[in-house]
Amino acid sequence: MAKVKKNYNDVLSILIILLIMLAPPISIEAFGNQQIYKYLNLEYIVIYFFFFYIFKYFRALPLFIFGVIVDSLVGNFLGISSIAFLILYKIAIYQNTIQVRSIFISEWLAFGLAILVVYIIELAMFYFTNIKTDMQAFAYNFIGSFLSYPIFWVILKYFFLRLERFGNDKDE
Amino acid sequence: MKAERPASDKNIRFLFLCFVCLVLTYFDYSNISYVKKTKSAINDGAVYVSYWIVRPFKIIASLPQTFNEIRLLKKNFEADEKLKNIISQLQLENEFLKKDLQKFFSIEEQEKNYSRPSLLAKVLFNRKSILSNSLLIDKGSLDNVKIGYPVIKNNNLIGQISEVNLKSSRVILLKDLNSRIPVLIGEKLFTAIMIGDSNVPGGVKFEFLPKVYEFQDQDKIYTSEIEGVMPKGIYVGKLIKQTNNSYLIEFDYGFNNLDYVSVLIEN
Repeated sequence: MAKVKKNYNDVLSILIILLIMLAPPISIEAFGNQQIYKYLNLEYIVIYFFFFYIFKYFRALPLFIFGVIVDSLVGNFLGISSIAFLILYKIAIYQNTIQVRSIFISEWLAFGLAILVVYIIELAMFYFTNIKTDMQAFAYNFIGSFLSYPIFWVILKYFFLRLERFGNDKDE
Repeated sequence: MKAERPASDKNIRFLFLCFVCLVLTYFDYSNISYVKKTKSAINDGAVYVSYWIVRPFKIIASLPQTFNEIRLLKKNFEADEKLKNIISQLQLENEFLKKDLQKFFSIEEQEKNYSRPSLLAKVLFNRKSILSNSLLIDKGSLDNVKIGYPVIKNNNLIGQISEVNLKSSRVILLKDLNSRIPVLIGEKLFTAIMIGDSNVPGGVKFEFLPKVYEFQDQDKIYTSEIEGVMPKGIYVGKLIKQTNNSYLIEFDYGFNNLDYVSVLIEN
């Protein structure tokens, strides 16, 4: 009987997203300030990455729960972050299914498009719930997240490919 | 082996979760009392779960700081001897300070009101994003904390309570976009509203100033009691005058690395 390969990448990806959501207080302790979070949305980057490369056990329900936790911690109305995460998830999966060739530039642009859509939806929800927003901060955050995607792409891709290779070597 | 769900099932699941999100947002926005209680419980759960997940990482991250503190303590101990000599010099300067204190007689009344009982609270979570600049503390409605109560650190106002759960509360910091604090500025006690704005140096600005006003360098800022939002006379910070029309608001206490804060509660 063929042995079923265990793949811990999905569990690891969930842990990474959870830690990134809870990272600000850790970074305060280590580095003393959180200016980086003004210019970067790490959550969107990793969620997009993991769904674009379809981590199959990682589904919509954990994202919904993560979104509720983020809203609780940030002080938003419950559901706003969840819907942003879910839409990002759906766009990432859709973009993965329609891609013909794997070219990084096209993936990068697709990421930009995906987070732009998510930001627009988020801003619309803030507008309808009368939450005051700083458009300039959103613009900086969008640009920062877009420009830093290649860096995190290289780190995550390298890390997870190494893990997969290690798993395959062990099975041989 | 677990069978893969068909695409239509996934779509229905996705749409259902989106619908649940919208319903949640609507209920939360509509501020219904029983929804508020549920939200309080969700908030408490999320805060405490996050606190315990983050705690080991925080301890590891703070190790270098702890070693630094031990080194500093050792240095401080050695410096204590030197300080004894300096104390005698300070006693002479004390005379000067007494004169300086007379400047603040005009806000004596405010200072008296400041003597409210306080509640020591532990900072559970310090989460900042482009939308919020807030803290979560371990005191809630069960500890008689209410919305609007001022939160201080070393006698400096750092923010006020914006949301109260059962065993936790949210403190909106002065630099938050939604922070509105009525203040009195300088010896002439000009009234204004201090508003958080991340786009200005210092992170806060004044609005609703009188038509004619003039600030001096190092003018002190205290809370005022406009609309009974905040008790009078809590020290907020000072003004650093830069040019004729521009000024910088400087806080004597940083907003990072807050471990414990005090909530001023009513008598």
